[in-house]
Amino acid sequence: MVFRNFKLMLGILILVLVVSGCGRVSEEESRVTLGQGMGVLNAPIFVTNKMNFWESQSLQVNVRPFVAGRLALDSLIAGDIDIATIGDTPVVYGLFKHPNLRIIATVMESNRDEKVIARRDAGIDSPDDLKGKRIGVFFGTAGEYYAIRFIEAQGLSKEDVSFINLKAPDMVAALSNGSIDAYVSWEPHVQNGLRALGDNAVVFVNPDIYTETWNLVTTVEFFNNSPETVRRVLRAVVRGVEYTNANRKEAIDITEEQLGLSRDVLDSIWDDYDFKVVLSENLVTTLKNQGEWIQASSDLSKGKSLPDYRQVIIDQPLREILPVAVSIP
Amino acid sequence: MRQFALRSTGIIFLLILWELVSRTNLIDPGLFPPPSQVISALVSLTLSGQLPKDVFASVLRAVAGFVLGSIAGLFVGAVSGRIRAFDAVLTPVVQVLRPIPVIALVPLAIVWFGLGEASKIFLVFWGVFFPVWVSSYLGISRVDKNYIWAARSIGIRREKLWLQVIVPAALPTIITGLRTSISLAFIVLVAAEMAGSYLGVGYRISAYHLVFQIDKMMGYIVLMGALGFIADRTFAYLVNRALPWYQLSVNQD
Amino acid sequence: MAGHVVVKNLGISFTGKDKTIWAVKDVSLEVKSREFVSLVGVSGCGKSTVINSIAGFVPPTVGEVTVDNQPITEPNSRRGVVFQSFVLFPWKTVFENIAFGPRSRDVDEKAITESVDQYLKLMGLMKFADHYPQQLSGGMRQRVALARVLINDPDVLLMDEPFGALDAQTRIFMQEVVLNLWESTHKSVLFVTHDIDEAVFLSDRVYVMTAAPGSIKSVYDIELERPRHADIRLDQKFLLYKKELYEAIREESQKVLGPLPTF
Ligand SMILES: Nc1ncnc2c1ncn2[C@@H]1O[C@H](COP(=O)(O)OP(=O)(O)OP(=O)(O)O)[C@@H](O)[C@H]1O
Ligand SMILES: [Mg+2]
Repeated sequence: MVFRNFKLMLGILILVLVVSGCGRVSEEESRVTLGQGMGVLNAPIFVTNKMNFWESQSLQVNVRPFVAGRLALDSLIAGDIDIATIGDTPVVYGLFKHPNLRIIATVMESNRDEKVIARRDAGIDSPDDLKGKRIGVFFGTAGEYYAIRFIEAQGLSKEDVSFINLKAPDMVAALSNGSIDAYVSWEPHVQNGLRALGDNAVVFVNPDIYTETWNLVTTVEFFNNSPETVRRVLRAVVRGVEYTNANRKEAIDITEEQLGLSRDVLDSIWDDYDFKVVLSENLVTTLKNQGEWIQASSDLSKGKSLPDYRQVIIDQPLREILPVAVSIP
Repeated sequence: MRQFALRSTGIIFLLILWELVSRTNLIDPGLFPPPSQVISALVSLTLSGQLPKDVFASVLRAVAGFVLGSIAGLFVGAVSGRIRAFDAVLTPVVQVLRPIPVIALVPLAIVWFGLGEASKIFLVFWGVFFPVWVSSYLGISRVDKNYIWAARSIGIRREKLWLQVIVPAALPTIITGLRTSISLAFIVLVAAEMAGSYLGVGYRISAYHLVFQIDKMMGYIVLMGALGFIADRTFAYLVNRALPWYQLSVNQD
Repeated sequence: MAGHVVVKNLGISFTGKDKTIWAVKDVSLEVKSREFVSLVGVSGCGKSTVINSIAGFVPPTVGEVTVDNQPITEPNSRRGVVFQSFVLFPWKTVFENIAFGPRSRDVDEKAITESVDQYLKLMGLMKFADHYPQQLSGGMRQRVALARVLINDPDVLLMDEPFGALDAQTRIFMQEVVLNLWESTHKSVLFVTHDIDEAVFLSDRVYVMTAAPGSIKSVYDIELERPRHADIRLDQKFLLYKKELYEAIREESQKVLGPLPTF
């Protein structure tokens, strides 16, 4: 029996090898390396990968996961990947040193993804209690920008707390063992913290301070060399977003598989995310706001004026594919 | 003095070259800031008081981890290198743990010990322990038996053999192990601090990296190199002061 | 009179991973008190093993080794050993190397300084007391090694190719140093060497060993008058001893190396 199965397997294996050997890569096919930041906000890309919407666009996509979009950005700059999904903050930072970065589409907007989670036994019951506390933040990510805005909204300044740079996945452990009193991060990390701390955790969300955008980012060079590839990527992602919105249950299943958050938890936060392919004025505004914030808070832009953020956005491909999605002049 | 002048020439030349390359704009100076900019970043960080605190924190961690790791490595190495029963029990344990790259333990250390001093010291301890154990084990277990025979036939008593013969005979091997461990201590420390910390040189390198402050990041990288260099030199100096014969034997063989 | 070494039917084997090697097989020899005896033989025949056994480093597998009728159980400063490779302690100065024995025996420091100085003078090493062995020439090192042993006033001196690492001039000089020392202190000496000339020049008796595993092949009493001087080498009797020994050794080395190749 075992032997027969083995023969069958062998047969299939040989068949697969022969077929794949024969199937010539179509001339039209293009290859892309895509870096994806891991988070619930990346759900449409998870869906696009899983459903392989790339294939119908004759794309062969090599997907590389990154703990954060900020780290995918390093790879993009280094030329290891062609396109990455990244929040807005890292792009604003990066543009000061790398003016060749370009946004080709926003795939998600949310004002409730980033959150503050704190330990009650550190004496934190309300946002005001954060004063004087040690707060974990992943520098250079949207989490950092959100953290600053959050603190400011409480009438506090950066100096009133101590921010500690931590990679998002390490924050849970750090909070659990009391190395920090609170942290600011995106999902799944806040839910993971809740799971680890149970009743000892308290979560704060301020939806009025910042609407994060999750974007497809590439470089001028890649776009100029492969404009057609960029268009195909956009088409596939548009399908992914449509599918995500039309098939909530399946999209949640796929995201669950990627992030290890339970379906129930995902279901409860799913509506915090607005999955859509757009290029809107909101993006330009948020880039500009953050540019000004960085200019004021660090010496990164010393002696330089802010870039024209409208020029950072390449809207022409999306305008061709889905004209209604582009609402910037 | 002439030696010193000669040696500095190379470094000065490197700095000038670096400055020129950045100034010509061949490479974006934002990504490859000239030494003048890095130095001025270092100066302002020093004046603000942040840099001395970082250096102090890092050096303290490195020294504490190094001292504890060396003592443990020396002791376990010596005992298992000379006493059969300990060798049989301890060596397999050490051999199983040794191939685990210490960097892989960084997340675990954070879970176990948090972000404070304990996790940093633990990691440096771990990184230092194994090379010191190896050198101590090999040094002690492979002491030329002629030394022991010679000592015994001149009339040394067994209990004096350890301090008088075995340890000094093993010292050159042990010192090599200790010296390698010093640079290792800094490597591990940077990795540990980069993973999360409140302050320290490695912490700043990672934090400035994420917000594209490349001149400050480079400043801290250069600083790390300087710390490693100073530590190595200090060690060599102390060894030569304490054991004048050491350099002679090394040059001989 | 102390220092009477008797080796009777000594056999020593080493057990390796999968086999047992006999390093020496059935060696019998004797060094009477105050005698100078040499042991010669081809490389690997077991000379060092015999010395190590008398020193107490390696126990006999069969047979027995006694000094003054006492079986040997462990090393002892009554039997001093001089090694081919000197084996000075590189972490100690010349002074400290020589003082090693008395210090181990907790002799008081003043007495130690006195006797070390005496040996430094004897060996012409006064200026080098604070040097480390690595800073000395080979001949000087071997003199330190000798002093380090002699300061313990042993009954028996076991010398395992002590001059093997020295150049020819230094070697001849050291032979005379040893001969003078022996003539003034009259210790029992067992001297291992490859050099037939050296053996005849120094010894009262020479044992020749067979090739490995070694046993005693033949014995020669060297009846040359003492005190001996360098020019004794030109003596007819000296040359005859050398010839006899040479033949005996040559026979053994052919067993090891095979007959001369023909071209
Ligand atoms: N500890 C040991 N373990 C195994 N074999 C040994 C050991 N010591 C010596 N032997 C073997 O015993 C034999 C005799 O060695 P030994 O050193 O006594 O010879 P030797 O006559 O002194 O040679 P040489 O003239 O080269 O010094 C050799 O075959 C050697 O390999
Ligand atoms: Mg030998």
